[in-house]
Amino acid sequence: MTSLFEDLRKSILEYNSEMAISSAKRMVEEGLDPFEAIDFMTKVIREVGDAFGRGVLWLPDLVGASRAMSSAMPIIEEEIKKRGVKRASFGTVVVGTVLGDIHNIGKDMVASLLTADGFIVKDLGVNVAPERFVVAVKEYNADLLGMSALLTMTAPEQKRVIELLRREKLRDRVKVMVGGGPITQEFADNIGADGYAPTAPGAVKLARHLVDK
Amino acid sequence: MLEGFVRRFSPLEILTEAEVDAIWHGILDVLENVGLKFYEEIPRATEIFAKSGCSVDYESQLVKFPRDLVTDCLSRCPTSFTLRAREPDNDIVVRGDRLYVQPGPGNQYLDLDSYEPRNPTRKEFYEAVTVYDALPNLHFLHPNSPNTSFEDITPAMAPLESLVARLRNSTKANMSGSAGGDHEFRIGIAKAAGTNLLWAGGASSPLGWSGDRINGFMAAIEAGFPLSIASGASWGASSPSTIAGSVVSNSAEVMGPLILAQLMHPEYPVSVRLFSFPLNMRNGSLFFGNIATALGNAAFFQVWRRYNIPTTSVEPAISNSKCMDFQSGYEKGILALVAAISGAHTLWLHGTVYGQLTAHPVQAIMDDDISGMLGRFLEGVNVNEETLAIELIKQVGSGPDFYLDKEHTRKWWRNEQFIPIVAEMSTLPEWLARGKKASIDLAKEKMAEIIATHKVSVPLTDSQEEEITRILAEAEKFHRDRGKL
Repeated sequence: MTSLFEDLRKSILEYNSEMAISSAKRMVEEGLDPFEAIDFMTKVIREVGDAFGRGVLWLPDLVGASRAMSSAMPIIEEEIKKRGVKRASFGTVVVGTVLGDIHNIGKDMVASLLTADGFIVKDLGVNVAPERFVVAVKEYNADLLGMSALLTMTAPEQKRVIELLRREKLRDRVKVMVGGGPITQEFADNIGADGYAPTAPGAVKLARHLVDK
Repeated sequence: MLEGFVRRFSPLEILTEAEVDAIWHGILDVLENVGLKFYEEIPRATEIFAKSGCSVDYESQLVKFPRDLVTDCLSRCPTSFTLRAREPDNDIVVRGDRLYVQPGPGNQYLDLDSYEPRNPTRKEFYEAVTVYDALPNLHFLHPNSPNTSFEDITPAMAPLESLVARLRNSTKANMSGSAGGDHEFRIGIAKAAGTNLLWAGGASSPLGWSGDRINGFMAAIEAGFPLSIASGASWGASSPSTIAGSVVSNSAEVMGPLILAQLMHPEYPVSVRLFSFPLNMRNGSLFFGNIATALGNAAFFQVWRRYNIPTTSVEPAISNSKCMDFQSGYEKGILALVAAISGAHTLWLHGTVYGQLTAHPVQAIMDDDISGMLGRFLEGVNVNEETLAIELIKQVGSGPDFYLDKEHTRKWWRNEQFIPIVAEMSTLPEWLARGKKASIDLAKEKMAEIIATHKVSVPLTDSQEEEITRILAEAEKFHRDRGKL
């Protein structure tokens, strides 16, 4: 059993998705408690996050480790589902890039880091219409909505989504965070968002802060 | 016509011919076997591609380009084009050994008291255009210059209102691009003012284009406006982290609209830009001001010189510094000089502080000295009988005679030196007596002087104003109908 955990740890620290998947599969086969596996992976990813915070590791390391962990996650989640229990998480986050904007890198970085941090992330992709955001918030009973926009012209779409959430009486049920090249704290305040972060690691801190509120 | 700066020596070549071959091989391979993705349906463009022998997957909107078609289109591109200004003296002819300098885009105005970004007032925006019009080493304008917007206008109307402001307060040539389907209004405004526009648009990296950008390019081609086609990658995120790999990927991206232009109108004028930067691996933002960007651009220009297609350098405008300081100066200065000697035909420089996020006319005034230095450097060393001055050297000998009173000195010194406008050049006692002013203080004074004295040489006529007002009203309706206002 120890070697299984060691392999899983190694797969995350060596950014090896294939190894992470096979370790997760073996854990399931051997009847290991899936929650224990998630707790373990979260502990390992925190180590990576701490090393990033100290300036020892860099963004490609953080994303590589997150991706390795994310690839093992569906196997563990499937097992949780089979056992008919519910996964504990910090919360469910719906993320997407707004209508008219097809830039995905920043949004993907945030999604991967949020997953690694223990959030359940529902990624709607790019060029997402306001109505789709609202439907997803309802469907997944989301705690957080994260919207990305890289273009000055598309940034106002974030405001349209917030207005639609208000009209649908969902605004009080979900915290909204916004990001992207042209976005500033002032803009976020003006459109009625709950938070803004200029970087992907900053977005994770913000998400933790918003769900703790 | 504005002469711009003339480069009188061969451009820097940092790649061997074999390395240039390898990069072109990579570009053609990527276009043929990976292709470019178009994110919205663009039926007219895909039909043109399909008819010309490209493989088009209509479901995924992925287009693959046969190599012969690519090289044929490359060889059709003209090596020069004219960008018309409101005043013919300000027309620019982008070509061979010329360099024209323009400002960078500044999303917001930099507040000089707090060093924080904010929206400029209408007055500040118009005054900044006046400053840009007055600067001697700033040759044409940028679509988001001085800033993207100003107070009391909506984001949807900002591109049009700012274009109108530039046309009102300057007679210099303009650049533009489309956003939100507003291309017809931009074209209409330019035509009303009697100009064309250098039509800009950037890829959605990796290897993709939005339908809006392609529709804008097609409208510009139909209007006869030259194109400035940009890649849009961050190295390590949306293109490879290596310089060579990024030059391949970014060059493949810009081929999409370039091929479309040549298929719509053979010999259509285009220029290409490497609008891409390394990723800052600490925080995921872009790493502006990085010397790797200068290397990437030098390689990009050399690669594209094989077809003599005009190139643009954007990186000198885009520093990582958040204020007007030492870092801003060295990043802008070094990157601008490398781009200029590497053979860029147009170059972004003036006004910007911290990437594209802020700009201020005081920075533009200081940048104009950098631009002037580039121009002087490109002129090179003039060697002829008169400049060698052998007879004069013999005449003066080893003194006590000197050169200061000689006709030769009076004739030549101004050609040989560059005289900056706001660089601090006084002696220490003079500097102390004048209140210890730095170049930024001198630039602030210069800005006040320009605003008090400079007037646009040819204002828009009443009928031009009337037509522009009509187009703006139509554009407002267009955006309102789409819920953008």
